[in-house]
Amino acid sequence: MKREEARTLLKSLDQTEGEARLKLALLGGWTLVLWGALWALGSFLLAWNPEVGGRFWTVAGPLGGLLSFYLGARQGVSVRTFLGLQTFYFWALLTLFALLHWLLLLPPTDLRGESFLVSLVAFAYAYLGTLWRIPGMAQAGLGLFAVDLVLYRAFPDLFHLGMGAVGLWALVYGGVLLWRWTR
Amino acid sequence: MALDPVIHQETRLRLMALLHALGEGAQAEFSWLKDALGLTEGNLSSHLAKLEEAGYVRVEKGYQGKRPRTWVALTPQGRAAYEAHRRALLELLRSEG
Repeated sequence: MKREEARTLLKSLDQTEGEARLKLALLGGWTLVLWGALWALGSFLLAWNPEVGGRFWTVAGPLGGLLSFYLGARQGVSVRTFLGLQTFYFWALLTLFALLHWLLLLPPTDLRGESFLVSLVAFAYAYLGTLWRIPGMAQAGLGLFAVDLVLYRAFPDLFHLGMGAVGLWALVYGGVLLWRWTR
Repeated sequence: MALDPVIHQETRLRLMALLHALGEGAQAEFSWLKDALGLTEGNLSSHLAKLEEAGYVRVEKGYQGKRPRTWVALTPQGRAAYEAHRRALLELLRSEG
């Protein structure tokens, strides 16, 4: 075998492994599609009318959470991994933590509360990117935190629009991944 | 370090890479593997049979409720063989000429 063949083969193996981990970590792309759509719609609604946006999240948040856990459990039937189980429990704990913190410490109508929730999600992706050895995911988590920080501190009036744009990006990227993995 | 002829076939190598990526002790269902690799049932079965014969994968049949399922896992021997194969490829890459 020639060196170039070995190089191509190793690259292909790295790609296969990386793609498999990404697919599992993102539940086949559904995580980004679901939460990208909810995030975009919810954020744009909040920007347009906080009351309407708040009502949207009261319903969409718990439903989205339940659907995410269902998708995770369903994937766990097809692929049984210790990492998958760790991820499932991690999201469950984070959801509980976020819910308790938001309800008891920060009111849901406060921008600080929303920013805190975004930073939790950002931390989750940064952590899971490290756990699953997906550098791009860890970087995305850090990037999301940076966006959260900049919008909250420097452009609070644009916070919801900015988060809407982030949601749209996630929706599009998730859609591309979903298409790639299901065609 | 020599390349493993059992693993070196392209589809079997991808299959081993996929199973390796799932982590130690992981199991993947047959249909999930089939979809992930873009293979037909017959093709995947044939490659799994060769890997199982070599002791690199373990194939278990069971049920999830009433639905029959087939689970595939990389054995410790398979994990070691795949990692050795990767090292052999790296050595080839670093070799002179």
